[in-house]
Amino acid sequence: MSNKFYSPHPEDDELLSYSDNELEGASVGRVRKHLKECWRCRTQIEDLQATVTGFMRYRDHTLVPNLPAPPQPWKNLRPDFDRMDRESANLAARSPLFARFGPLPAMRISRIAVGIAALAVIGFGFGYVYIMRSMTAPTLPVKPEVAVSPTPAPDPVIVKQNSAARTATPSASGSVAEQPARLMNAEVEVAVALHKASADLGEPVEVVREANGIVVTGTALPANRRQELTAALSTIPGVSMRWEDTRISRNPSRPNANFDAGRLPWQSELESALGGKAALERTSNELLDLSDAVTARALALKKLNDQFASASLKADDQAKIDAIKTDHQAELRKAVDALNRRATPVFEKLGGTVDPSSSGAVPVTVLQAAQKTDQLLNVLFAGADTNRSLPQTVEELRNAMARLRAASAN
Amino acid sequence: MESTAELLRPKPLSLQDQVAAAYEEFREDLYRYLLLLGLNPSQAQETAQETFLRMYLAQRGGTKIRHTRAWIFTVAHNLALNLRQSEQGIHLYDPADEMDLPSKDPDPERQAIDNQRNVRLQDALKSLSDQQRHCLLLRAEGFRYREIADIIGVGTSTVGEFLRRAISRLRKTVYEQ
Repeated sequence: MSNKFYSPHPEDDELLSYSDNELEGASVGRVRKHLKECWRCRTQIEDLQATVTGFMRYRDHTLVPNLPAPPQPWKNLRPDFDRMDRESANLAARSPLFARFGPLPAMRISRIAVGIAALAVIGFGFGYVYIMRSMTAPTLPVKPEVAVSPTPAPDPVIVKQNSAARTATPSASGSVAEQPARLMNAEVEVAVALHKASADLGEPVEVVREANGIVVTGTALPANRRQELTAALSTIPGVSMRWEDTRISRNPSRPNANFDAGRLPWQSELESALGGKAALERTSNELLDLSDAVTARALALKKLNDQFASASLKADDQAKIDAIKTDHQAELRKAVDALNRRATPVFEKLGGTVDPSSSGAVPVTVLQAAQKTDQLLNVLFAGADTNRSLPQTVEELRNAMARLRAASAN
Repeated sequence: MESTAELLRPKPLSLQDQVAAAYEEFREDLYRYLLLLGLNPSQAQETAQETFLRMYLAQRGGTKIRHTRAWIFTVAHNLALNLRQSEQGIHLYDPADEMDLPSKDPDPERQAIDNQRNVRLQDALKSLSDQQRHCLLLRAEGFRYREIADIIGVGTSTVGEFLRRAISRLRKTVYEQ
């Protein structure tokens, strides 16, 4: 087990996120505290800020003022709006189905304009129904039939896909649905493979759907881990991998304790309650590790929901995703139970009570409850900044854990 | 008959008014961003206009847009990349190529230092990967990491990583030579 009673230097990206006010949770307090203590990191963050300032000065005072003005006066768009309204109204008048279901996605229309024109001639309604049935992603935003540009409209709903994915060109064979379905299937297989390899628990692995397949990008992974993931993913058709390096390899687990002996706000009270410095260190590490496990599962569930909730999956793909969710939920419950078991004797020594209504008074998601618990554990055992007293912190933590139990049981 | 209070109550803006207002407010920002993405001035202006037409279409079709500025940058970003993709092999427009970048500082020594730094920054920006440069430009436009992640279609942590690399490259090129 790692010794968390030291103050590791934050990495550059953490310092940048901190100076950008983008750091969240316990990391903020940890970095802030570290910066108070560490000349090296203070200098480093000043260097980062000086670079940002230099770039912004160049951008604002040199680059932007020298940009060319628009070559034409800005167009009045209202006539175009009116034209679109008229064309949509005409279509609606011609087809009750159009009026009922709304306009077709411009993304698809712009790519199969000839086909649509032909369908419109022989009966717009029939063609519309046919295409709607063949679509595999009914959650795509609906757009009027009129294509305003030869370039397809990006889809602001599926924001995690890159631009190429949003503009995937249907195959010449006319199968509008084939490619998205194939990509969706590959994305499901990637999720399954990453889950089997436990790479969906906070490792820096990103999955992006592109025009011709799925790209999995791993950042700062050790060579043996890359090999494992390559082996797991290489059998899936249409998946490519990118491995990116960073200057310093990062430990995916949270470096969450930043205190030396005597640095915790309630060090002496905690040592006295738990039986000395070694016991406090052991307790802190175990609780924080268990909280990591809970948060990782809760985040994995949230990510899976975000990724696939709005997708229209085939039954077998949906079953695979459901199986991953079930697995995460079971592991989450186990981790919550283990956290509670480990925390119970600690609470007996530290006191505090649980508000009986806390578990159901304010509905929270598992992730919210896990993050709150994690935050309070960091306050108590990792020196994250707080204005709370020790009894307040313990009481809030007990209530947060009660809410976590309730949320994870659902 | 409408009461006085009802008459005085501001009427809700029509969809056309809303999009027209957004167009007035954001088109210059968008044009600037598109130039810096490598579109030439005509393309940048047409793409910016196109973006607002798509915004109107999307909203007419029932799309709810919660963050207008982020939405239009997402759409414009993708239109620009499509355009660039369709013109593969054609030299990208780089506004800095056509600029004389003289410092306005009255002190000649300071002027020389500024000019040298500007040239280095310009070179450093060119040396960034597309995604690093996009992240940097969007951050400079005031977007948060999560919004940038949505615009360019990557994870928030990846945005942090791209920005770290971009800043690190700028620092090395500009300040550590």
